[in-house]
Amino acid sequence: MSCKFDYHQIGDLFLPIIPISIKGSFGWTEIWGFVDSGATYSILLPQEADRLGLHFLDGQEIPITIGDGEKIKVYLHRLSIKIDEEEIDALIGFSDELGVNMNLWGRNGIFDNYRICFSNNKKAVIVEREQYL
Amino acid sequence: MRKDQEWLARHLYDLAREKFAGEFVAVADRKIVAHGVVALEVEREAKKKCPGEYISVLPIPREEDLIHVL
Repeated sequence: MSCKFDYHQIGDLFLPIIPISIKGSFGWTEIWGFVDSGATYSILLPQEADRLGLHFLDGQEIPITIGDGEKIKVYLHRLSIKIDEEEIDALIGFSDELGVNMNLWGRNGIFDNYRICFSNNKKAVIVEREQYL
Repeated sequence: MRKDQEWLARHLYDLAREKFAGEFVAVADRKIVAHGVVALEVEREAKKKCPGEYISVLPIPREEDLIHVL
């Protein structure tokens, strides 16, 4: 099964922003984020932890180096996520030090389980479940 | 992809960027139905205003956020 998500247009920019559902204390919640193939972990805003009914500081604290070389504290939680109908486990990080008002989807759990194609030509992200033999 | 997701992709940021950058917005049936800096409150307000409707809650990046992300 594959899902296609149009790039989001912001002014002249077209960005791969997609929804992923995460299971929290209140059930499944849809969260939108920028697909960042260069990021090891997904990093979400602490406000999204509130929506999920989680205390983001309860996660495993790890330091992550961001684009400008600065280290930030990220709190990892093992959570169930789904893009299509199938539920998978992923380590999802939360940080109040990211400094941008945007969630980032990184590789852990997501790129391990899905084949993600960025089509600048179609201005869309195509997500397919990875088939294991 | 749902119809409202297409709308979000094409129109949301241009509508929301000037007024709501740095906030969260809630969208239902192609309309911004709530906004604010506390995501959970935005979601709850939207659910109260639009019971039973599919609601998407998104952070709206500031101009400088786009530079950092890219």
